[in-house]
Amino acid sequence: MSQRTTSTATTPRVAKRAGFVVVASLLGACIAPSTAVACDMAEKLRLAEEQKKLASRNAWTGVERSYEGMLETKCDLGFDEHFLGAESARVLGKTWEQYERLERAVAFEDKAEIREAMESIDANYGRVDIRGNPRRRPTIERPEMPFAPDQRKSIEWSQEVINNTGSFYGMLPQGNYVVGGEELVVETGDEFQVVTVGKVKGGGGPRPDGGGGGGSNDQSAINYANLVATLGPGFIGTTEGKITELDDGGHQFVPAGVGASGFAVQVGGEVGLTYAEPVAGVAAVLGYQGGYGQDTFHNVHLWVAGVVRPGEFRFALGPQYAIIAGRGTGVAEEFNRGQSQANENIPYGGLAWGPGLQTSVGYGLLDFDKLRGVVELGGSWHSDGARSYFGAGLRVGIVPTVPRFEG
Amino acid sequence: MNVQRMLHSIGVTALGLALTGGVASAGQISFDGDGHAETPTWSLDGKFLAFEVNRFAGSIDMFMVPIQGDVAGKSPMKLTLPGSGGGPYGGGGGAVVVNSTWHPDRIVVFEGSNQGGDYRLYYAQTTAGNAAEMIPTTDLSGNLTFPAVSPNGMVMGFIANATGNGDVYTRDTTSGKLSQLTDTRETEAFPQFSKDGKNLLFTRKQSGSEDVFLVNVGTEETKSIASGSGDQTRPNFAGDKVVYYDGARGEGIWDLAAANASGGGQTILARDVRLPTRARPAVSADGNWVAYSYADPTKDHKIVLQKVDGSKTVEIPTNHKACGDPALTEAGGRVILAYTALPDSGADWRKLHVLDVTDKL
Repeated sequence: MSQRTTSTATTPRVAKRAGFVVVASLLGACIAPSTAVACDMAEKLRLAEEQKKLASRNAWTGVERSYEGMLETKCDLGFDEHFLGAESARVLGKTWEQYERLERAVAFEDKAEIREAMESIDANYGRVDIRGNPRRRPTIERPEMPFAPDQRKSIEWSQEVINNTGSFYGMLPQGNYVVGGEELVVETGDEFQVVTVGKVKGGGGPRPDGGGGGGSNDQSAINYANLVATLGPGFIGTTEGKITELDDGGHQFVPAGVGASGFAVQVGGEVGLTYAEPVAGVAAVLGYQGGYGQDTFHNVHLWVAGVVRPGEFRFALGPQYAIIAGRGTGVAEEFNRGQSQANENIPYGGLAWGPGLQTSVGYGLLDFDKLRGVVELGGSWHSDGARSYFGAGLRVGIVPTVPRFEG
Repeated sequence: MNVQRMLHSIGVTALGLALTGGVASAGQISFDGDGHAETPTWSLDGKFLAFEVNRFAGSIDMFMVPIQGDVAGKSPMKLTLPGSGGGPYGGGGGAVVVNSTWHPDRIVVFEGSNQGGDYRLYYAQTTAGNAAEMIPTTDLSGNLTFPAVSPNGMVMGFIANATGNGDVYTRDTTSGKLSQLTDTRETEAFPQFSKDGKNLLFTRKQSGSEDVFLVNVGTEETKSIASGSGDQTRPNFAGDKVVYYDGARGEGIWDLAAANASGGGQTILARDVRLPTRARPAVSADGNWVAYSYADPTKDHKIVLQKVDGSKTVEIPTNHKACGDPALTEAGGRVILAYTALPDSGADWRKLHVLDVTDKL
């Protein structure tokens, strides 16, 4: 931790900027929660129309997407929407989802055909909750595939889900299966059969024979790795430093507390290290934050952060080391070396460096295949031993997409 | 001598009556609405019966009913096609649903068409009447007809016109893979599996007449089984024989014939039989017996069970007339016969009847 400052000329001291007010405003604007989750009726109506058109063309993947989109609008759905959603789930092999949607549909109109369909599912399928290790995903096989295409699709869907996540919660045709090398007999009934395969955090269960992990797909130690880059306006400020008395009785030169707005940019990379949600990893970036005006600051820093990615959010926190170069006018109020010039008019310039902390909260908005466009709010602090430096900014940028099975 | 002949005739009749136990009393299967019952088919375990009802309003419905012995376990359930006027789960009318066959897992497979639409293959389970499509149009378009399932359930055969006028295809149960077994400009129809599922009978219309062929599912090697003037149609395996309907004697005249499953050895088992609406000759589970009825109105009140080797014939008289569409099964050690018939008097619809014939054999 060190600082090196020099005095060059005297200038009027710049009034303290309401930096914290600005930061507070930014924070308020960005993270003020909405007071109510309103239903997006216009979007729901659009999706409902789209759902019907796609269903008439037997485009069931699209129908499924429309249905899931309608659920996200938070609007109440009607019989037709649930009905078609049940059919798209059936075509795609999502039997549990099909059953749930039939339940919702029959709550609107108690049709005998729908009840029969539900009874048929109850008579031929069992409920299973297969919990596997997302890093060491089990496989699920059925020695004798069923004749009925719907049942076959149901099994194929479970295979896809387990292959991508390691776990499966849903319905399977009754019969004999092999999951992660272990036999499983799926039986009809209202209760979910819970099956734990391999080492699962928070639960035990049978381990694959021989420790070799038969019937499983081992995942790489690295879930994902890609670029991080952000850019946006920022604010940088510093408190007034401590006055240190020198041997000659005078004060060490200390600039006043100042704030300056400018922009920030960061470039680096992020690596995902876990598979279980929320996914976690590590990011390292080299950043620059500048503030300009009567006082000018250039902050170059290296930031290594632990990253957590729940859903679309990205939380990052970790230590940073910063070197800051500043130039401006105005020294500490209490600085006194017998100068005749007013303190606020005394120019300063110099370097400071030291460790600190940085954090950011981001939200993904745009999809760029393996990268995600984010908006994030960041804040930082570091100290050179004599004063604290703060930074804040609202940035847009790109971060790696967390590979997730969307289904 | 005339008296002797008459006494002999009375004795034979008495003996015949003694053998058959008099007029058979069959259980009748009722169904909703009016129409002619046709083409009953038994599930492989003999516990369920699928049958058609021709409404004569442009629609043919299919029903499924559990059978206990020779009586219906409950009311027949109507099978509905998806999209038949009631959304994905059916409920509407105007469909044509015919040609049922059974998978060992009590799944009935049939062909159906919504009004004006292509014929596609559907399946339904005995737990619900909602049918679902077997093969989506994205996998194979056009008309898909005449489903047949191997007795072990591992292969399904059918006819598709996507590549011509009707070619034989198979669908593997394990992989879901579709394979085309024949590729000709002629029309193929009536596929039927052997007991081991390795061979498939079918007919081909060529040079104006229909002949019977056999194809090996694995090698696709095809050989002729029965041919001749007129049509030889609707073949079925019966042990080491193939039984079929033979129209060699002229338009509208049908005989029940047999040939060796290896080809050749064509013989006539019965003459002037009634050609069923759609079905093949009914063969018992052990392959030893074949059932038929007569076209002659003086003889059409009975169903005939005949050993395929010709060694024995049993006549089952009924209280009805115009008996037809016989179907045989074995359940719980009993041999059960299903057939359709008109009432003995008055004009009415053709009804479906079920009869335990074990003791008659």
